[in-house]
Amino acid sequence: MTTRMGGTSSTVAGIARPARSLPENGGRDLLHSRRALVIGLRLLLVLIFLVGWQYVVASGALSESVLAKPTTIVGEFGTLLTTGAFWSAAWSTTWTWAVGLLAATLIAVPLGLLLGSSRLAYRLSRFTIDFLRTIPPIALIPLVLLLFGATEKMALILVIFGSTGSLVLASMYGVQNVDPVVRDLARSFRLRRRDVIGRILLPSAAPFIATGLRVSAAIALLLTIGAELIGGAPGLGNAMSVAQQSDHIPEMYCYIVASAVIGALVNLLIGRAEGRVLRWSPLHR
Amino acid sequence: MTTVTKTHDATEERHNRPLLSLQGVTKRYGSPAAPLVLEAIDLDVARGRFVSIVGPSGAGKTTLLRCMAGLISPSSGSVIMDGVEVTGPPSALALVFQDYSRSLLPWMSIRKNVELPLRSQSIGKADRRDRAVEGLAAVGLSEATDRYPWQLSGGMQQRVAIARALAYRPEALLMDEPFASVDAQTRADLEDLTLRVREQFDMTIVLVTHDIDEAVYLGDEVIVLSGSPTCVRKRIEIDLGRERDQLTTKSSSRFTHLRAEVLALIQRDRAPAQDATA
Amino acid sequence: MTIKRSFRWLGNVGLELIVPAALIAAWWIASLHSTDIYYPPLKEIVETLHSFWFFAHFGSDAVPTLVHLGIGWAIAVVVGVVVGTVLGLSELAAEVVKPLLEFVRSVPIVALLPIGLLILGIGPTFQVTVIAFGAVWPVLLNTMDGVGSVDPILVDLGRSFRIPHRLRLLKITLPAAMPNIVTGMRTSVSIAVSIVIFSELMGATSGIGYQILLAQDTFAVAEVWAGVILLGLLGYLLNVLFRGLEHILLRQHRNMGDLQR
Repeated sequence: MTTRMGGTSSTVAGIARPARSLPENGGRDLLHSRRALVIGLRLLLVLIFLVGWQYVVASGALSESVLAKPTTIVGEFGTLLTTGAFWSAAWSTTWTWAVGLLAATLIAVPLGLLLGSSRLAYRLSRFTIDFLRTIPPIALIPLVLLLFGATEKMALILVIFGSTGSLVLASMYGVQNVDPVVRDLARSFRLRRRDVIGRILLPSAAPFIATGLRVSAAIALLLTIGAELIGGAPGLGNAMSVAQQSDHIPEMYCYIVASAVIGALVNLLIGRAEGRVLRWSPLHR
Repeated sequence: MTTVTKTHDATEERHNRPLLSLQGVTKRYGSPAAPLVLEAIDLDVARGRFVSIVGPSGAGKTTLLRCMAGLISPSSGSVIMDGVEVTGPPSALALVFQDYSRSLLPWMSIRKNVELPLRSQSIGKADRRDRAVEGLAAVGLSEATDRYPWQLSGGMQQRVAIARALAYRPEALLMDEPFASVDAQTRADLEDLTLRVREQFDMTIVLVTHDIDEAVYLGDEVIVLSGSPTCVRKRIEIDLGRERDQLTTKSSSRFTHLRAEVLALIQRDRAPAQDATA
Repeated sequence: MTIKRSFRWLGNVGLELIVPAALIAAWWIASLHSTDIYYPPLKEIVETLHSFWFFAHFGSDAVPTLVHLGIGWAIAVVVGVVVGTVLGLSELAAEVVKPLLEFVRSVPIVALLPIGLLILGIGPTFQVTVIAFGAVWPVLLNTMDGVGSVDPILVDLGRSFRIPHRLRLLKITLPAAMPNIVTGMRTSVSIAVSIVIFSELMGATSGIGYQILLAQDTFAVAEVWAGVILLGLLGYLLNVLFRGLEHILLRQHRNMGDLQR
């Protein structure tokens, strides 16, 4: 299993650890047993966490009205999965996230490629993009709530606005970091513009865009659930809030767990897709 | 009758005219007050010749090549290719870069890499493929067509770069220290490959190198550049004949003599620095 | 020559400011006579910004937000660096823990805030705790990465010269991991800002986010806009401040980089 960093790790790292020196024939067994040890320890940690959690509530240190037991949550989840309300909430969240992210990508990537390829455009737009990017998108929730009401549309607009920033930047960065040797190559062989864009710029920028996409995907999910939680747009966040207000605490926890699962799935999915598309990149070989 | 003679004369004139000609080429980077990198370079590359350009490190060898390749324009003077002034990369030239690993696109297979420059020529998909295969065969890489650059060794990668230039069917090949980053063994193989390719395609080649042995071994003539600001120190004709090989040629007395002549010229340019430290 | 250089510098700065200035001017002019209640004139928004935030409510709301942010982030950084270093030093521990941490990191933090609110109730404890909790992960993971991938040559250096562990840590390992750590810190700043606002939107009695939500509830549209602009300015300012910090922290690395070039 590869242990790659999430999108924020610096590219300064990446120097390999010194290889373990293993004896020739006993090597493989040692590897297997280490593997088993690692997995075992991991499971142990998870177990300790769950048992600890169960104990904290069961012993009364934290009341059940604030922290549901893992066992209760599992039970409640079973019931919840059969209700239409759960699936409709899950679908709302997923839909808003996916459509918002897609729209943001379709806007941000061409824009970023464009701005990155012209020095003038870059310098003209840099300040604006920098500034817009540092506005915490969460801060817009009350504003979009005011302007668009507690609707899916509100959540969508928030997601689009909040996720374009890092994608534009990533695309710009990707274009600017095309290897100068490759640029010379394109010029000396007089490549057609569409070949330069499609076969050189885009693939060159792809690893950077992928990182930006991973970040944007996480932000998009955050904003979706945030808009639902505070703004009341339909979805898991809203269901969470409603459950909490009507004192159905285990149900609230279920929705939280569901959000966590979606978050993990999103991360996994994008990581996998990235690995497949960017098979050629030195980072993935 | 006269029109036929005219075309005949024109062809003959074309044949006599140098393929590539540098006239009074001067280059400085930045403002007019910046130091000269290239100074009044006059150089002719005749059709079918192999011209080695050699000079001390830090001399504007790469700058000179880039001017020839049309990637940069000279501050004054002109580069003329086949009678036409060069204002951008001319279509009759193909470049082989020093940094081969960075010039091959990792997201494309070898074959696609070789085909890439052909896309801007008006030939069909099938023809592109054929030329690519032909080019790869000429450099001995027929089995690697579907592999990726990072799966190949350095020497093989440079062969791909050469194949790419060949498939392009240029009139002249410009090579920028192409064998500087490979080990000696591979370098010898690649040098011989270059000679074979030159024979097979009757190619005009300009090779820039810091390796004197290589310059003399490969070239029909060696242009020795001076140190900064770079100008042409001397043009040395290499009369080692067309049949060359690593063993006999490089141990011949003529080779040694020519090599010494080139070395002496280069060392003379480096001497002042040594005196300064003494 | 210096006059020419200062003109060029002015020209550069000017070029970068043309577009934002033009956009603001366009917004100002276009909205000057707006009667749409949802999109008040920029003039009015700026006036509200001035009258409300500077400095009437600055002490009562802006300061608490900043204080919570600062404390929460500081805790996150300290915990993240310490725990990240400990985990990063042990290859086994890092390998075991990494996927688990990545999982936790992938959980949308806003979904976890209701839990914090339930357990801790409204108040500064809740604010600071959730900020620290949310902002720790990038620092932790990046520190782990940085410490774990210190150039093996440097590791050998420490061992062959028998440098004591504590010194090795302080003088070799941590400085070498600094670029990673700083990257993690940068991410955690924006996360912390998002969380502090969100936590105030969820449950607070004061703060910038709280005031904005209140304004939204009472339909004080200009105040909502003003609040958002304030947060934008704040976000930008913090970004600039952090870049300054980064500059100081990475001074050595930058010099080294220049040397290698």
